[in-house]
Amino acid sequence: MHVNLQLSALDSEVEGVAIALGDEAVARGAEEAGVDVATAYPGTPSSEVLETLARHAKKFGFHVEWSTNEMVAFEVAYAAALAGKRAMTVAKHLGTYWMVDPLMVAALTGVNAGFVIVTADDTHPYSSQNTGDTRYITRMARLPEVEPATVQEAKDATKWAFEVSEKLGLPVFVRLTHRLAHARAAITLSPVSSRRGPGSFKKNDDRYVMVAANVRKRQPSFEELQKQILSISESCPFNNEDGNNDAPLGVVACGGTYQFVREAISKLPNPENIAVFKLAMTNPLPQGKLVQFMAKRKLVLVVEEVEPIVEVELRSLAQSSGINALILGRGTGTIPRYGEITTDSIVKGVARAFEVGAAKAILSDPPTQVSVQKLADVENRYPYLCAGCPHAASYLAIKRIIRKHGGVVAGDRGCYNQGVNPPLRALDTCISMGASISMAVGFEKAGVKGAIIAVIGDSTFFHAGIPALIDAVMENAHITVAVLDNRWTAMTGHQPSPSTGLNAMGEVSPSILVEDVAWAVGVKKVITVDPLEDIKRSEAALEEAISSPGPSVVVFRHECALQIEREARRKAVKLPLYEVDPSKCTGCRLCVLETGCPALVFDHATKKVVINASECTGCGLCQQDCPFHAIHLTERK
Amino acid sequence: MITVAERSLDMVVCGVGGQGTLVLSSVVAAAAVLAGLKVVAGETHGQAQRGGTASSHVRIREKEEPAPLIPLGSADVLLSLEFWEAMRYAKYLKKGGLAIVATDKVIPVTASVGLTKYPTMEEFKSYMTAVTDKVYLVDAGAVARSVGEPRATNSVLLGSLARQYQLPFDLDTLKRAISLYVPKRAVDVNLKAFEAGLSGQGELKAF
Repeated sequence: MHVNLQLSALDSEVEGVAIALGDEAVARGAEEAGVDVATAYPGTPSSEVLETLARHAKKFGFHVEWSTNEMVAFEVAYAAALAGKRAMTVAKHLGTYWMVDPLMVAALTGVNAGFVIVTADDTHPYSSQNTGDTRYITRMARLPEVEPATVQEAKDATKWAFEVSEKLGLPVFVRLTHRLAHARAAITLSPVSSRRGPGSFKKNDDRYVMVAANVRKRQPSFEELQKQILSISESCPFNNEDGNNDAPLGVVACGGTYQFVREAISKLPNPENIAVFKLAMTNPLPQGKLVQFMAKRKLVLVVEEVEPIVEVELRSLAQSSGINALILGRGTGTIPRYGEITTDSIVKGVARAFEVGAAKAILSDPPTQVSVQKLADVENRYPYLCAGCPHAASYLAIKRIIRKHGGVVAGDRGCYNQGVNPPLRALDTCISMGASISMAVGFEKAGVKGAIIAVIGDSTFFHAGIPALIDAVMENAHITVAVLDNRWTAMTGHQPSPSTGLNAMGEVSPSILVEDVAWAVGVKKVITVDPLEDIKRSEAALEEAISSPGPSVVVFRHECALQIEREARRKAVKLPLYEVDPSKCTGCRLCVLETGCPALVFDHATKKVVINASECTGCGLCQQDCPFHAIHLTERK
Repeated sequence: MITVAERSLDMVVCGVGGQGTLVLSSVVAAAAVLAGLKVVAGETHGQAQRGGTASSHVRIREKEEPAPLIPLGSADVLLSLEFWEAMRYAKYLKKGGLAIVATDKVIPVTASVGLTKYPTMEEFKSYMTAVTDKVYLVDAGAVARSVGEPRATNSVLLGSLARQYQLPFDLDTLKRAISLYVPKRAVDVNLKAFEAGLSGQGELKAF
């Protein structure tokens, strides 16, 4: 069979076949549904959805924005949907938490055009401060949610979600997990839909002005809608049953776990004893279908990513329906309570059900598990700050101040998190967006001694740092906010930040200066330094800041090294290069310990440091730092 | 040359962020699609560009797209763009499976300052022996440099893979997939790198 595969197919409006990530498939689904406004704040594993849409915005004629934060993103898209335009907002689980406040009210007002919220939950986690299950949120808001199982379904379910949203007049969720968001597979494309005309807003105070009296008026119709949502759940085309319909053992496989369930069952000794319910509509559950499914089983194993939500609801549903099936899952510890769902974890889950005797009567043999060679753990390879990263220089100055004065470095969320890894170990907390500044205020008010320094990136500062900075001013907190401004939202793949001077669609926008914000909210001491220019200057700036009364801000501004490298490559410009003079190098390794630079490699044989030319970007930090003046500029070949 | 009856493949591709792990797995996936096969590649990235570990599980079947992760101890092939990373992902390889490992080393900062130990060849061998004796070491970086493109290491390894393993598609299909994924100006040099790998340049059986 010959397949006409074009890599550019995803960028074309016509039908075809493309290889796409789950995230890219979602973007295509939105385009096929005719999305008019799409918004997001970047966050792994969701970023590629909006990146794809941003690439196409001008060509297909819709609006795409990297919003200041997820709440703003939600509200922009929501208003567009009120004005009759199809809209979508995208976030990782932590970003979805940011939307909760307006979401709960938006559920009550409803929308006038398809409004889809895509949430990509980091389930292991791979790149988050916790694991997330946003399905609790759809339950709070009582909104429909669909969880696709494959990359193709990610596209199709997104498209379907727009239809359902428009039909119900309610926001609809599409939930991806990390595994599906970053799975790549071939998908069949339908043509991209054309846009709608300009939107319009029709005044309706009872509906859009959510004062308490209007909320109470709205409740009966919202309750009416819940019945319609249930009927949509029952007829969701992505729910499916397979396996032996009369089997005594059942597995309910939610969303992307379905592919793993299928593989696990094929490894079991008696697969014909298992019926599978592929559950895509995870809120609200298709109760009628699930009651029928459970009524025929003695045991039901629920497989779902992160929390035992469906499991608990099924247990409740079984109880109220007079069904006696034993319901097991993550909540009962049958499937491990944490960690990513894999084929192995499901096979083990069935084996555990067998051990407690529940499955024993049903499966005649215990499931055979693949015997895996037990290998010793391999030591961790820590991610690090890239060679030439300006944050490394900022951290060096901050560490020296903390060594001298003691204190706390309250961190935030971004690339600079890598500063926690050895050998830098330069920050003390990383909790949530913007928390560096508010926690610094808290530490100061708690009476913590020494220099209290908040470290926050430019994008995170604009996302959530500003209200906390205002708090610091209001409370006259003696803290120093170090804003590591590298001009991009770098960690998630260099999306433009408010400081970049570009928007998502590549249009020039004002570059907003952190200093201007700091002055405007009343910070009296604001200093700007280039962290790579002179480490002593950075230290002096921090000294000056911490000795000033009240809150102070030091902006460490230098563009991200990866962007500098890319720009140099594009323009065919050679970056500077440093080398170590072996006659002067004492092998003390202070340069490696203090900068953590990956271009510096210690040769254990010669006991000297060498600079890896292909990594070095010529930032010169190591040269500034070497007490023996053993590092100097050289010619790059 | 290892041959298989069914047209299927479970392969873990691994390396360090920036080495081209995901491009390599995408090329293999594209070749499978071109050949009319079902494929899924489960990628793990996020902070990979910052020197962290990066991997992709490529799974090819004749009829149905499988789950995007290979169960432990069951991969047919482990293809590692970095020496140490091969050890990290060896747990996915089935007993007696094929490992093709670049001898290129990305030494972490922690090894420079003595906080972690980068494995020696002896440690590598004794670790891998527990899983398989089919380990091929490829001096892929040097071969790539010799054809004039240091960043074509992944194409060299792809050549070694096609040399050691009967892939479920033919060589022309694989070359077409390379041409699809590599920027136009780099296609020729990547095909050269691929041919070099295919001819066994820089390849050495570990034991």
